[in-house]
Amino acid sequence: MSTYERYLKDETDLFFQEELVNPVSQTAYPETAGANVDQEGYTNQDYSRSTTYRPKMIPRSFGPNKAPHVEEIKQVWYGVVLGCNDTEIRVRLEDYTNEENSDEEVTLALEEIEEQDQSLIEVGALFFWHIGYRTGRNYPKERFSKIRFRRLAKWSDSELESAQELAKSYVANFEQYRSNHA
Amino acid sequence: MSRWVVEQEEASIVLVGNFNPKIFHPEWFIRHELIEKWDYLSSEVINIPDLSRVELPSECLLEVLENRLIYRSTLKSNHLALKDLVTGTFSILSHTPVQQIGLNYSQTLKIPDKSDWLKFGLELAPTELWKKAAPYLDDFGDDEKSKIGLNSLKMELPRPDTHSGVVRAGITAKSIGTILFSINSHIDLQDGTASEMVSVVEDAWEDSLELSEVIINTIMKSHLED
Repeated sequence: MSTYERYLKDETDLFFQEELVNPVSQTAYPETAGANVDQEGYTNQDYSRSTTYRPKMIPRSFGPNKAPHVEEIKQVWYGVVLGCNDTEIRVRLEDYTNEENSDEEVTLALEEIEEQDQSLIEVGALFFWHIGYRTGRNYPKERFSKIRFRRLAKWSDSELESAQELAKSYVANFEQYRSNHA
Repeated sequence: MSRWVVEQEEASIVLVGNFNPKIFHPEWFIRHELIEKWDYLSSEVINIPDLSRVELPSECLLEVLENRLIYRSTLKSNHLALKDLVTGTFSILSHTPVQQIGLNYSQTLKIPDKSDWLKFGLELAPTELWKKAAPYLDDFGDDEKSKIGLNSLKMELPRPDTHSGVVRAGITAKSIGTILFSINSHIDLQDGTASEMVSVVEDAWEDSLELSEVIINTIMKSHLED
Protein backbone atom coordinates (compact mmCIF):
# COMPACT_ATOMS: atom_id res chain seq x y z
CA MET A 1 0.00 0.00 0.00
CA SER A 2 1.49 3.38 -0.98
CA THR A 3 1.82 6.26 1.42
CA TYR A 4 -0.99 8.14 -0.27
CA GLU A 5 -3.26 5.13 -0.26
CA ARG A 6 -2.59 4.86 3.44
CA TYR A 7 -3.45 8.53 3.86
CA LEU A 8 -6.74 8.01 2.12
CA LYS A 9 -7.52 5.17 4.50
CA ASP A 10 -6.27 6.77 7.72
CA GLU A 11 -7.79 9.86 9.11
CA THR A 12 -5.76 10.67 12.19
CA ASP A 13 -3.25 12.96 10.52
CA LEU A 14 -4.99 16.13 11.48
CA PHE A 15 -2.87 18.50 9.48
CA PHE A 16 -3.13 16.45 6.30
CA GLN A 17 -6.89 16.18 6.66
CA GLU A 18 -7.23 19.91 7.18
CA GLU A 19 -5.01 20.50 4.21
CA LEU A 20 -7.56 18.61 2.13
CA VAL A 21 -10.28 20.96 3.25
CA ASN A 22 -8.53 24.22 2.64
CA PRO A 23 -5.28 23.67 0.79
CA VAL A 24 -4.84 27.18 -0.53
CA SER A 25 -4.56 28.88 2.84
CA GLN A 26 -1.99 26.34 3.98
CA THR A 27 0.44 26.62 1.10
CA ALA A 28 2.98 29.26 0.26
CA TYR A 29 2.09 29.36 -3.42
CA PRO A 30 -1.57 29.36 -4.45
CA GLU A 31 -2.57 26.45 -6.63
CA THR A 32 -3.73 27.35 -10.12
CA ALA A 33 -6.73 25.86 -11.83
CA GLY A 34 -6.14 23.00 -14.25
CA ALA A 35 -7.62 19.95 -15.89
CA ASN A 36 -7.78 17.85 -12.79
CA VAL A 37 -9.04 20.48 -10.44
CA ASP A 38 -11.53 19.72 -7.76
CA GLN A 39 -13.79 22.45 -6.45
CA GLU A 40 -11.21 23.81 -4.03
CA GLY A 41 -8.37 24.20 -6.48
CA TYR A 42 -6.33 21.01 -6.35
CA THR A 43 -4.41 20.09 -9.45
CA ASN A 44 -2.79 17.06 -7.93
CA GLN A 45 -4.44 13.75 -8.81
CA ASP A 46 -3.65 12.13 -5.47
CA TYR A 47 -5.19 15.01 -3.59
CA SER A 48 -8.25 15.27 -5.80
CA ARG A 49 -9.02 11.61 -5.15
CA SER A 50 -9.24 12.48 -1.49
CA THR A 51 -12.28 14.65 -1.93
CA THR A 52 -14.38 11.71 -0.81
CA TYR A 53 -13.44 12.65 2.74
CA ARG A 54 -14.43 16.26 2.41
CA PRO A 55 -18.03 15.98 3.59
CA LYS A 56 -16.76 14.38 6.78
CA MET A 57 -14.54 17.30 7.67
CA ILE A 58 -15.09 20.37 9.79
CA PRO A 59 -14.08 23.31 7.60
CA ARG A 60 -10.87 25.04 8.63
CA SER A 61 -12.81 28.28 9.05
CA PHE A 62 -14.37 26.64 12.08
CA GLY A 63 -10.93 25.53 13.29
CA PRO A 64 -9.22 26.76 16.42
CA ASN A 65 -8.48 30.42 16.85
CA LYS A 66 -4.92 31.54 16.72
CA ALA A 67 -3.41 31.20 20.17
CA PRO A 68 -3.33 34.50 22.09
CA HIS A 69 0.20 33.69 23.11
CA VAL A 70 2.91 31.05 22.87
CA GLU A 71 4.19 29.37 25.99
CA GLU A 72 7.82 28.53 26.55
CA ILE A 73 7.86 25.96 29.34
CA LYS A 74 10.91 25.98 31.59
CA GLN A 75 9.84 23.57 34.30
CA VAL A 76 7.10 20.96 34.76
CA TRP A 77 6.34 19.00 37.89
CA TYR A 78 3.88 16.22 38.56
CA GLY A 79 2.40 16.88 41.99
CA VAL A 80 0.48 14.87 44.55
CA VAL A 81 -1.32 16.30 47.57
CA LEU A 82 -0.05 14.93 50.89
CA GLY A 83 -2.20 17.03 53.20
CA CYS A 84 -4.14 20.27 53.38
CA ASN A 85 -5.76 22.76 55.75
CA ASP A 86 -7.75 25.97 55.29
CA THR A 87 -4.81 28.05 54.09
CA GLU A 88 -2.19 25.76 52.58
CA ILE A 89 -1.51 22.39 51.03
CA ARG A 90 1.46 20.08 51.47
CA VAL A 91 2.54 18.44 48.21
CA ARG A 92 5.21 16.15 46.81
CA LEU A 93 6.67 17.19 43.44
CA GLU A 94 8.19 14.87 40.85
CA ASP A 95 10.42 16.70 38.36
CA TYR A 96 9.10 15.98 34.86
CA THR A 97 11.63 18.28 33.17
CA ASN A 98 14.62 16.50 34.69
CA GLU A 99 13.66 13.06 35.92
CA GLU A 100 17.06 12.57 37.56
CA ASN A 101 16.18 15.15 40.20
CA SER A 102 14.80 13.69 43.39
CA ASP A 103 11.26 14.37 44.55
CA GLU A 104 10.64 17.41 46.74
CA GLU A 105 8.03 18.17 49.37
CA VAL A 106 6.81 21.76 49.55
CA THR A 107 3.96 23.75 51.06
CA LEU A 108 1.80 25.89 48.78
CA ALA A 109 -0.62 28.64 49.77
CA LEU A 110 -4.18 27.68 48.91
CA GLU A 111 -4.56 30.95 47.00
CA GLU A 112 -2.02 29.60 44.46
CA ILE A 113 -4.71 27.17 43.32
CA GLU A 114 -7.42 28.35 40.94
CA GLU A 115 -10.82 28.61 42.57
CA GLN A 116 -12.47 26.03 40.28
CA ASP A 117 -9.78 23.47 41.19
CA GLN A 118 -9.98 23.97 44.96
CA SER A 119 -12.84 21.48 45.30
CA LEU A 120 -10.48 18.79 43.91
CA ILE A 121 -7.94 19.20 46.70
CA GLU A 122 -7.73 16.08 48.84
CA VAL A 123 -5.00 13.71 49.92
CA GLY A 124 -3.78 11.84 46.83
CA ALA A 125 -5.09 14.40 44.29
CA LEU A 126 -2.73 14.82 41.32
CA PHE A 127 -1.79 17.98 39.46
CA PHE A 128 0.56 19.45 36.84
CA TRP A 129 2.61 22.53 37.68
CA HIS A 130 4.05 24.45 34.72
CA ILE A 131 6.44 27.39 34.99
CA GLY A 132 7.60 29.35 31.97
CA TYR A 133 7.19 32.43 29.81
CA ARG A 134 4.32 33.63 27.68
CA THR A 135 4.85 35.76 24.62
CA GLY A 136 2.34 37.03 22.10
CA ARG A 137 1.67 39.74 19.59
CA ASN A 138 -0.34 41.78 22.06
CA TYR A 139 1.47 40.63 25.19
CA PRO A 140 4.83 41.56 26.64
CA LYS A 141 6.96 38.58 27.62
CA GLU A 142 5.79 37.54 31.04
CA ARG A 143 6.57 34.77 33.47
CA PHE A 144 3.73 32.46 34.46
CA SER A 145 3.09 29.67 36.92
CA LYS A 146 0.09 27.40 36.34
CA ILE A 147 -1.14 24.67 38.66
CA ARG A 148 -3.79 22.49 37.13
CA PHE A 149 -5.45 19.68 39.04
CA ARG A 150 -6.05 16.53 37.06
CA ARG A 151 -9.63 15.37 36.53
CA LEU A 152 -9.03 11.68 36.20
CA ALA A 153 -11.51 8.99 35.33
CA LYS A 154 -13.32 7.65 38.36
CA TRP A 155 -12.92 3.98 39.24
CA SER A 156 -15.93 1.99 38.09
CA ASP A 157 -17.68 -0.52 40.38
CA SER A 158 -16.37 -3.42 38.29
CA GLU A 159 -12.80 -2.07 38.48
CA LEU A 160 -13.06 -1.75 42.26
CA GLU A 161 -14.52 -5.23 42.45
CA SER A 162 -11.73 -6.76 40.37
CA ALA A 163 -9.09 -4.91 42.46
CA GLN A 164 -10.63 -6.42 45.59
CA GLU A 165 -10.61 -9.86 44.00
CA LEU A 166 -6.94 -9.44 43.12
CA ALA A 167 -6.12 -8.32 46.67
CA LYS A 168 -7.95 -11.37 48.07
CA SER A 169 -5.97 -13.68 45.79
CA TYR A 170 -2.69 -12.07 47.00
CA VAL A 171 -3.76 -12.61 50.62
CA ALA A 172 -4.62 -16.24 49.87
CA ASN A 173 -1.21 -16.76 48.23
CA PHE A 174 0.63 -15.27 51.21
CA GLU A 175 -1.43 -17.39 53.61
CA GLN A 176 -0.61 -20.49 51.58
CA TYR A 177 3.09 -19.62 51.53
CA ARG A 178 3.12 -19.03 55.30
CA SER A 179 1.36 -22.29 56.10
CA ASN A 180 3.73 -24.21 53.77
CA HIS A 181 6.79 -22.73 55.50
CA ALA A 182 5.55 -22.77 59.08
CA MET B 1 19.74 34.85 19.60
CA SER B 2 17.92 31.92 18.03
CA ARG B 3 17.57 31.93 14.24
CA TRP B 4 13.95 30.83 14.50
CA VAL B 5 10.97 31.66 16.67
CA VAL B 6 7.97 29.51 17.58
CA GLU B 7 4.89 31.40 16.37
CA GLN B 8 2.26 28.84 17.25
CA GLU B 9 2.01 25.27 18.42
CA GLU B 10 -0.82 22.83 18.82
CA ALA B 11 -1.24 19.35 20.22
CA SER B 12 -4.23 17.21 19.39
CA ILE B 13 -5.56 13.74 19.99
CA VAL B 14 -7.66 12.42 17.11
CA LEU B 15 -9.80 9.31 17.41
CA VAL B 16 -11.37 7.53 14.46
CA GLY B 17 -14.39 5.42 15.31
CA ASN B 18 -18.13 5.77 15.74
CA PHE B 19 -19.33 8.67 17.85
CA ASN B 20 -22.58 10.32 18.73
CA PRO B 21 -21.74 14.03 18.49
CA LYS B 22 -24.94 15.08 20.26
CA ILE B 23 -23.64 13.66 23.56
CA PHE B 24 -20.74 16.09 23.66
CA HIS B 25 -22.51 19.07 25.16
CA PRO B 26 -20.85 21.30 27.81
CA GLU B 27 -23.41 20.18 30.41
CA TRP B 28 -22.35 16.55 29.90
CA PHE B 29 -18.73 17.42 30.72
CA ILE B 30 -19.73 19.45 33.77
CA ARG B 31 -22.09 16.73 35.06
CA HIS B 32 -19.35 14.11 34.84
CA GLU B 33 -16.80 16.49 36.39
CA LEU B 34 -14.48 16.10 33.42
CA ILE B 35 -14.23 19.88 33.16
CA GLU B 36 -14.83 22.60 35.73
CA LYS B 37 -18.02 24.65 35.48
CA TRP B 38 -17.58 27.43 32.96
CA ASP B 39 -19.74 29.99 31.25
CA TYR B 40 -20.15 28.07 28.02
CA LEU B 41 -22.92 30.37 26.83
CA SER B 42 -20.25 32.93 26.04
CA SER B 43 -18.11 30.33 24.25
CA GLU B 44 -18.68 28.96 20.78
CA VAL B 45 -20.79 25.83 21.04
CA ILE B 46 -22.28 23.90 18.12
CA ASN B 47 -24.24 20.83 19.13
CA ILE B 48 -26.30 19.18 16.41
CA PRO B 49 -26.87 15.47 15.66
CA ASP B 50 -23.92 15.01 13.28
CA LEU B 51 -21.53 17.65 14.58
CA SER B 52 -20.40 18.99 17.90
CA ARG B 53 -17.84 21.73 18.39
CA VAL B 54 -17.20 23.08 21.86
CA GLU B 55 -14.71 25.71 22.94
CA LEU B 56 -13.55 24.40 26.29
CA PRO B 57 -11.92 26.56 29.00
CA SER B 58 -8.25 27.44 28.76
CA GLU B 59 -7.89 27.41 24.96
CA CYS B 60 -8.94 23.78 24.46
CA LEU B 61 -11.29 22.74 21.70
CA LEU B 62 -13.38 19.65 21.07
CA GLU B 63 -14.70 18.68 17.64
CA VAL B 64 -16.81 15.57 17.10
CA LEU B 65 -18.17 14.14 13.88
CA GLU B 66 -19.86 10.78 13.51
CA ASN B 67 -16.54 9.20 12.47
CA ARG B 68 -13.98 11.37 14.21
CA LEU B 69 -13.28 13.09 17.51
CA ILE B 70 -10.56 15.67 18.14
CA TYR B 71 -9.34 17.25 21.36
CA ARG B 72 -6.85 20.04 20.67
CA SER B 73 -5.10 22.86 22.43
CA THR B 74 -2.73 25.62 21.37
CA LEU B 75 -1.31 26.17 24.87
CA LYS B 76 1.67 24.05 25.79
CA SER B 77 0.68 23.97 29.46
CA ASN B 78 -2.50 22.10 28.42
CA HIS B 79 -0.85 19.45 26.30
CA LEU B 80 -0.24 16.88 29.04
CA ALA B 81 -3.78 17.33 30.33
CA LEU B 82 -5.36 16.49 26.94
CA LYS B 83 -4.70 12.86 27.84
CA ASP B 84 -6.88 13.19 30.95
CA LEU B 85 -9.73 14.62 28.88
CA VAL B 86 -9.63 11.69 26.46
CA THR B 87 -9.26 8.97 29.07
CA GLY B 88 -11.90 10.56 31.31
CA THR B 89 -14.38 10.87 28.45
CA PHE B 90 -13.96 7.29 27.26
CA SER B 91 -13.90 5.74 30.68
CA ILE B 92 -17.52 6.91 30.75
CA LEU B 93 -18.27 6.10 27.09
CA SER B 94 -16.48 2.79 27.39
CA HIS B 95 -18.51 0.97 24.73
CA THR B 96 -17.56 3.37 21.94
CA PRO B 97 -15.84 1.66 18.98
CA VAL B 98 -12.48 3.31 18.24
CA GLN B 99 -10.25 1.97 15.47
CA GLN B 100 -7.41 4.50 15.15
CA ILE B 101 -5.62 7.09 17.21
CA GLY B 102 -3.63 10.11 16.05
CA LEU B 103 -1.33 11.73 18.58
CA ASN B 104 -0.46 14.96 16.82
CA TYR B 105 1.79 17.92 17.39
CA SER B 106 2.43 20.89 15.13
CA GLN B 107 4.67 23.91 15.38
CA THR B 108 4.71 27.01 13.19
CA LEU B 109 8.16 28.55 13.08
CA LYS B 110 9.24 31.95 11.85
CA ILE B 111 12.71 32.10 10.28
CA PRO B 112 13.32 35.86 10.09
CA ASP B 113 16.36 35.66 7.78
CA LYS B 114 15.07 34.82 4.28
CA SER B 115 18.39 33.26 3.25
CA ASP B 116 18.11 30.87 6.24
CA TRP B 117 14.59 29.97 5.16
CA LEU B 118 15.73 29.26 1.59
CA LYS B 119 18.75 27.27 2.80
CA PHE B 120 16.47 25.16 4.95
CA GLY B 121 14.30 24.16 2.00
CA LEU B 122 17.28 23.57 -0.31
CA GLU B 123 18.94 21.20 2.16
CA LEU B 124 15.78 19.17 2.74
CA ALA B 125 14.91 19.01 -0.96
CA PRO B 126 17.86 19.77 -3.28
CA THR B 127 16.69 21.37 -6.51
CA GLU B 128 19.31 20.02 -8.97
CA LEU B 129 17.20 17.08 -10.07
CA TRP B 130 14.18 19.32 -10.58
CA LYS B 131 16.19 21.73 -12.68
CA LYS B 132 17.26 18.80 -14.86
CA ALA B 133 13.74 17.44 -14.99
CA ALA B 134 12.34 20.70 -16.35
CA PRO B 135 14.73 21.64 -19.23
CA TYR B 136 12.79 24.82 -20.03
CA LEU B 137 14.32 26.29 -16.86
CA ASP B 138 17.64 26.65 -18.74
CA ASP B 139 16.11 29.60 -20.56
CA PHE B 140 15.12 31.30 -17.32
CA GLY B 141 17.09 33.91 -15.44
CA ASP B 142 18.36 33.52 -11.88
CA ASP B 143 15.31 35.32 -10.47
CA GLU B 144 12.93 32.81 -11.99
CA LYS B 145 15.15 29.85 -11.07
CA SER B 146 15.21 30.97 -7.45
CA LYS B 147 11.46 30.27 -7.30
CA ILE B 148 12.11 26.51 -7.39
CA GLY B 149 11.74 25.31 -3.86
CA LEU B 150 10.20 23.05 -1.28
CA ASN B 151 6.47 23.48 -0.77
CA SER B 152 5.76 20.48 1.41
CA LEU B 153 7.46 17.27 2.41
CA LYS B 154 6.13 14.20 4.23
CA MET B 155 8.28 11.49 5.74
CA GLU B 156 7.04 8.23 7.18
CA LEU B 157 8.94 6.63 10.04
CA PRO B 158 8.42 3.36 11.89
CA ARG B 159 6.94 3.71 15.34
CA PRO B 160 9.40 3.81 18.26
CA ASP B 161 7.19 1.49 20.35
CA THR B 162 5.34 -1.78 19.90
CA HIS B 163 2.03 -0.20 18.84
CA SER B 164 0.85 -0.84 15.31
CA GLY B 165 1.11 2.27 13.12
CA VAL B 166 3.52 4.88 11.79
CA VAL B 167 4.98 8.26 12.63
CA ARG B 168 4.55 10.85 9.88
CA ALA B 169 6.56 14.03 9.93
CA GLY B 170 5.59 16.85 7.60
CA ILE B 171 7.13 20.21 6.73
CA THR B 172 5.19 22.84 4.81
CA ALA B 173 6.18 26.30 3.66
CA LYS B 174 3.26 28.34 4.98
CA SER B 175 4.44 31.69 3.70
CA ILE B 176 7.78 33.34 3.02
CA GLY B 177 9.89 32.93 6.14
CA THR B 178 7.41 30.64 7.90
CA ILE B 179 7.32 26.86 8.06
CA LEU B 180 4.95 24.42 9.65
CA PHE B 181 6.09 21.16 11.17
CA SER B 182 3.38 18.58 11.74
CA ILE B 183 4.00 15.24 13.40
CA ASN B 184 1.30 12.57 13.28
CA SER B 185 1.88 9.58 15.52
CA HIS B 186 -0.68 7.19 14.08
CA ILE B 187 -1.80 4.03 15.87
CA ASP B 188 -4.08 1.28 14.56
CA LEU B 189 -5.89 -0.44 17.41
CA GLN B 190 -6.14 -4.21 17.49
CA ASP B 191 -9.48 -4.71 19.29
CA GLY B 192 -11.08 -1.40 18.32
CA THR B 193 -12.44 -0.75 21.78
CA ALA B 194 -12.47 2.41 23.87
CA SER B 195 -10.73 0.64 26.75
CA GLU B 196 -7.87 -0.40 24.47
CA MET B 197 -7.65 3.19 23.20
CA VAL B 198 -7.53 4.57 26.76
CA SER B 199 -4.63 2.33 27.73
CA VAL B 200 -2.74 3.16 24.50
CA VAL B 201 -3.20 6.92 25.00
CA GLU B 202 -2.11 6.56 28.65
CA ASP B 203 1.00 4.77 27.45
CA ALA B 204 1.95 6.75 24.35
CA TRP B 205 0.85 10.40 24.71
CA GLU B 206 3.81 11.84 26.60
CA ASP B 207 6.38 9.90 24.58
CA SER B 208 4.69 11.09 21.41
CA LEU B 209 4.89 14.75 22.45
CA GLU B 210 8.51 14.32 23.41
CA LEU B 211 9.41 12.58 20.14
CA SER B 212 7.72 15.34 18.11
CA GLU B 213 9.79 18.01 19.80
CA VAL B 214 12.99 16.00 19.38
CA ILE B 215 12.32 15.58 15.63
CA ILE B 216 11.61 19.29 15.12
CA ASN B 217 14.49 20.55 17.26
CA THR B 218 16.98 18.15 15.70
CA ILE B 219 16.04 19.17 12.16
CA MET B 220 16.09 22.88 12.99
CA LYS B 221 19.40 22.72 14.82
CA SER B 222 21.11 20.59 12.19
CA HIS B 223 20.13 23.06 9.45
CA LEU B 224 20.44 26.40 11.19
CA GLU B 225 22.99 25.99 13.93
CA ASP B 226 25.90 24.60 11.89
